[in-house]
Amino acid sequence: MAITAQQILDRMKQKLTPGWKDSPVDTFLAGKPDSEVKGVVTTFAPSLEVLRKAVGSGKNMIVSRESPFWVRAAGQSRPGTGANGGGAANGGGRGQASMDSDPVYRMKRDYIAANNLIVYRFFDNWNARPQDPQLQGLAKALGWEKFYKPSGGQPWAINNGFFAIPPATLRVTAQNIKKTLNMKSIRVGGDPNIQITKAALSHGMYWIADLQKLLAEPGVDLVVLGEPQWENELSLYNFDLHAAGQKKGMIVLGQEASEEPGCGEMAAWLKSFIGEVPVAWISTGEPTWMP
Amino acid sequence: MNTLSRRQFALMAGAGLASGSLALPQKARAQKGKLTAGEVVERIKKNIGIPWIDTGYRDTFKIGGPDSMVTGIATSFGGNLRVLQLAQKTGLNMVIVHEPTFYSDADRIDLVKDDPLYKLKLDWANKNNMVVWRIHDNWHAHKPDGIRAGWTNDMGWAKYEVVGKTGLWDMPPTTLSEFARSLAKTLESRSVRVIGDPNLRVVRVAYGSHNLAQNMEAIQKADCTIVSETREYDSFEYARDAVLTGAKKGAIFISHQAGEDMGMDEFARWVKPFVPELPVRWIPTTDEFWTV
Repeated sequence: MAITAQQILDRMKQKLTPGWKDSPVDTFLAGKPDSEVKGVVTTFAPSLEVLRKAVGSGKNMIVSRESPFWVRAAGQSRPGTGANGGGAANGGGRGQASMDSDPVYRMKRDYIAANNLIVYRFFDNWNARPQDPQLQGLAKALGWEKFYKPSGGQPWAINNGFFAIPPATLRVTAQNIKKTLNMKSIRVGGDPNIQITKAALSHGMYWIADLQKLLAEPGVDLVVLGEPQWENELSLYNFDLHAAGQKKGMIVLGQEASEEPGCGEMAAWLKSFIGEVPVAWISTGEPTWMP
Repeated sequence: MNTLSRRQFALMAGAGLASGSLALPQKARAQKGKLTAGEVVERIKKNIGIPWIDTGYRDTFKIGGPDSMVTGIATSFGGNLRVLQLAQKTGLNMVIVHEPTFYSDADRIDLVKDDPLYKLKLDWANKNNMVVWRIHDNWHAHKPDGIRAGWTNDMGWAKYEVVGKTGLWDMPPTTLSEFARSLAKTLESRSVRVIGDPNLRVVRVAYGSHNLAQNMEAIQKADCTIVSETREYDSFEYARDAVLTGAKKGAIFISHQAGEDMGMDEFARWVKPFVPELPVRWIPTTDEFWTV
């Protein structure tokens, strides 16, 4: 039976707990909502490579955390803190006129049109779930579910990602994470030789309020995060802990590595109520390497 | 560039810190009474050459105030506790920084006032008569942009500059991986991440920015773009897509500190002639990230 992108979205709205809230972020960013869907792909960012893989496997609807044309919606919030990215770094894209003059934009736009692709950005509503699927996905990818030691309140809520991991030095813990997530570029702050026993796990951007909450949890000696905004504000906090002689470490995974596993959770969730067409998670893959 | 002096300073300072010499008495008294922090700031404002930009929260005192007596000036990228400790140990009690001290752009005290780390840092600084003052907007607005000028001068890249184009250089031909490796070495930074084919031929190099629009422009006009901290969800993904179109492009993402620390070396050179009464020294923030 044929199903359109809009029908899939309507079903997502119906199935989402605790209830859908319209958001300027969660919108169709490319393609026509009334197009027939042949298959659904979830991913972190709909890169050209992800789009080509989708087309290659006969799928035409992409549900992604980020935008196909890179720009984030202005004032987009980070759940749990009320903080937002703010300023030129959040958004900061160009107006449509100058986007049209960009060859990467044109090639991507034309590829999407030629292949009848539909891109839906699914961010705010997915994040608003009481049990944070992005946190669960990352914990699963790390093999840390069995070490989960929630603080008070809702288990698996954002900012409730605490894990009593097997004791090891910060250096060895970073090596283990790098290997498990099959990464190329991981960054660490703190004394390499401190002993890590309890980690706070976070993903995506984080703000000072998150950091203070995570570090206030008794026994936490490591914060694992996606991307600090900014290095000279948030990472500075971790560097100062080090300078103050406190035995706390920081491991920076990168935005994609921290968010990609949750997109696997997203595919599993969509599969649970979409039977008409195949649904698959295609990893965007780590963008960078280190020299 | 001052690679050697930077490394030597870090070694010297590291050894000093390890032996607990943080408590060494300052050379403060010998020079005491010469200039107040307020007088230093007035001289900077008088010489900056542009109408002073005052956001009310950015280029302001963070620790201490205009009446504090100054024993010497340290300049640095960030108000990192480690930098303040090094400055204090060197007998320089006024630290002029380009970036925040208390973990947010506006150094918002309401966010940290109950935080033990904030209290520890502030108490230590007050006990040691430290003064921290920030120059961000006005140093960028200085003609030329002091942060960019510091990069060009300390890297020794003025000779490569494309005529009439600031932040665009024609370098001796190399590959992306070689270029990234040499950059990491020169900057003494481990926080270096690259997008693009390692064998890409690199000649024309651009300096990008923290935001997407400017990075889009830079990536289009160069073989390789150097970017000092930018958002991964937009600029990284744009660079990835640029490579996926088949265009011969590369991008090297360095830490915020690695891109701007030398701008405060430039500031030390610039401010010295106006404050002949005081010693002035650049204390690099240096890269505190490492990798495995």
